[in-house]
Amino acid sequence: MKNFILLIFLCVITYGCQDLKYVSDKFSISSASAKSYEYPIFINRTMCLDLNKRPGLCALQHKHSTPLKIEVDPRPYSYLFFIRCTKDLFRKRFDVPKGKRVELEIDPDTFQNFNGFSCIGEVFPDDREKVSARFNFLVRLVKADYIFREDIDFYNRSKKHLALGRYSLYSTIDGVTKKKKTIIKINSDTKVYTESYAMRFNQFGHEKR
Amino acid sequence: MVMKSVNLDELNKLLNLTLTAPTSKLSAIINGMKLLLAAVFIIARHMLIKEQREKEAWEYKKRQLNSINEDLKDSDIF
Repeated sequence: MKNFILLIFLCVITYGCQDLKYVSDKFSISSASAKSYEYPIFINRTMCLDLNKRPGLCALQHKHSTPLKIEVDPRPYSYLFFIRCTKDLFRKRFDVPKGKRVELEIDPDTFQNFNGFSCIGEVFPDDREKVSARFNFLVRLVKADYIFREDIDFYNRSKKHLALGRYSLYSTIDGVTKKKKTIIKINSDTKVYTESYAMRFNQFGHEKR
Repeated sequence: MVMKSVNLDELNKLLNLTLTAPTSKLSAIINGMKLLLAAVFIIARHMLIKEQREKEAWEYKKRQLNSINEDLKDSDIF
C-alpha cells in the first residue's frame, strides 16, 4: 500500500513538472535586433559568459603561442554561421547542418603581431525568419612563457580551509587585507583574493552570485 | 517571373468557387477547370509569399552582417 501511495505521489509530481509550458516570445524583439550579445559559444572549452553569467559576451587572456578554439554545440536546426574578427585576422561564413557541432581554431600565427583582438559572430537559424543571435569576445594576448597562477584550492580537501598558496604576500579576505596568510578557515560565502610580490592575483568565491 | 504578373485580386474574383451541378459534360469540364484554376492560384500565392519571405530574410541577414562590421569597428580597441 505504501509503495502504491509513493507511486501515485511520484506520478503527480511528474505530471506537475510537465505542466510547465514554454511561453513563446515570437513577437518580441530578438536579441541581435536589440544589440544584445547572447549566443552561447565555447572558447577553449569554457562557455563565454559575461559578468552577470549571461552567455554570449566575454573577455579572456590567451597565450600568444596557443591556438584559440571556438566551439558551438549542435543545434536541432540548420543555420548560417558568421564570424569576423578585428584587423580581419579571422573571418568565416558557412551553413551549419542540423545536429552538427561547429569547431573552429584560430592559428597563433594569425595573431602573432597583435596585442589582442575582438570577434563578433552571428547565427541565423533556418527554422525562423528575421531572427538571429550574436556573440562577442575580446582576447588579450599575453607572452607565451608567462605562467598563470594556479587556482586557489581547499586545504586537505576539507572544504573548511583554503590553501591560499605559498606566494601570497597579501590576502584580502571579505574585504579585509592581511599579510602572509597561507591557510585560512572559510564559510560558504567567504570571498578571497591574493596578491604575490610580482603582483600576480588569484581569487576564490567572487565568481559566486 | 510569370507568377508575379498574376493579379491575385482579379483571380479571386474570377474564381467564384460555387461549383454547378454537373448536369452536362460541359459543366463538368467547367467545374474541373475551376478546380484546376483554384489549385494554380493557391500554388502561385504560396510561391509569391515564399519568395517574399525569402527576400525579407535575405535583406535581414544582409542588414545584420553590415551592422556587425560597424560594431567591430567600435570594439577595435587594440
